[in-house]
Amino acid sequence: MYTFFYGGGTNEEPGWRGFALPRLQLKFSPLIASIILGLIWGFWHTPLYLPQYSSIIQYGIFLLNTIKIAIILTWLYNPTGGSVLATALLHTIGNITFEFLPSTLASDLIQLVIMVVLIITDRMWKKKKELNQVEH
Amino acid sequence: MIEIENSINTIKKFPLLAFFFMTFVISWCLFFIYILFPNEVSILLIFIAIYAPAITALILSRITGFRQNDGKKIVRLVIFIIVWAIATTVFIINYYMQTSDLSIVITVGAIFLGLLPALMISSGFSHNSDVRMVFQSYIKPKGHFVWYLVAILLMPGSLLLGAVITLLLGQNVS
Repeated sequence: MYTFFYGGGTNEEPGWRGFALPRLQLKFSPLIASIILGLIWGFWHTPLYLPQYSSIIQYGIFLLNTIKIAIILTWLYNPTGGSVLATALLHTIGNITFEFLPSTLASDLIQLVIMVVLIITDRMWKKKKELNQVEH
Repeated sequence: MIEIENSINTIKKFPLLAFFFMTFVISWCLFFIYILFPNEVSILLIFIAIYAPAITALILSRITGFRQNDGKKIVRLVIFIIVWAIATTVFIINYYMQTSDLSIVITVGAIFLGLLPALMISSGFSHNSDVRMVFQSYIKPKGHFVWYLVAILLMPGSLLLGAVITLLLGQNVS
């Protein structure tokens, strides 16, 4: 519950997924929108995690990881008709799980495969016609 | 007045740029205050900084959306008070579990910080259409429940499977 309130669930998701993602998807495909948002989302975290990076490569891996999670979150956001709660749950539970289970090369590869499967099955490179879009 | 009107028009014209700009300015200013002056008061600023995406979404949705009167004020107030009480208690318990030392600053800070999640979640009943659209799913979940199962199980499942595979390959999981 602490992580839900103060670690992603209510503090980040309404902004990144609730506000920015539908507007990005008005202009770009879900895949491109996720890559843009994932990059900005990862960059936003920089001051928080700055002391933890020992090299630029580690920082680059972190940014790639946020892009991967952003793609998965977009895939979840769209079929729910724009549920911030669903993305908040994934975000929060992901953060909590990292406290108990370590991220391994195998788990990174599994998530990467999941991401590729989702991109292909959902044809995320194609711009969606009907989304929970904002009209401005 | 004209300057405010111009700013609002610019925000309406470029809502995404306004969102990213405001989010980064609010968060990074507060992050760097903490990095430069780490103490008990500035640590509370971190918790405001991490709320910048939601606060900015709330402000900009309010600016770009239009007023409707179908927001339920009483429900909103009840949800606000309940979430405020829970969030404040959770913050205090978590801090106490980590440090076993509760100061007046942290206790008062927790009461203040509890306002943020309460404001976000109760905004699902806002009278403003855009605000309600962003926050409503917290109170009225959208989509089939299977998607919520996926949301709950995807990360633990992939990490658990990864750990099992790593162990089966004879490597350490640490």
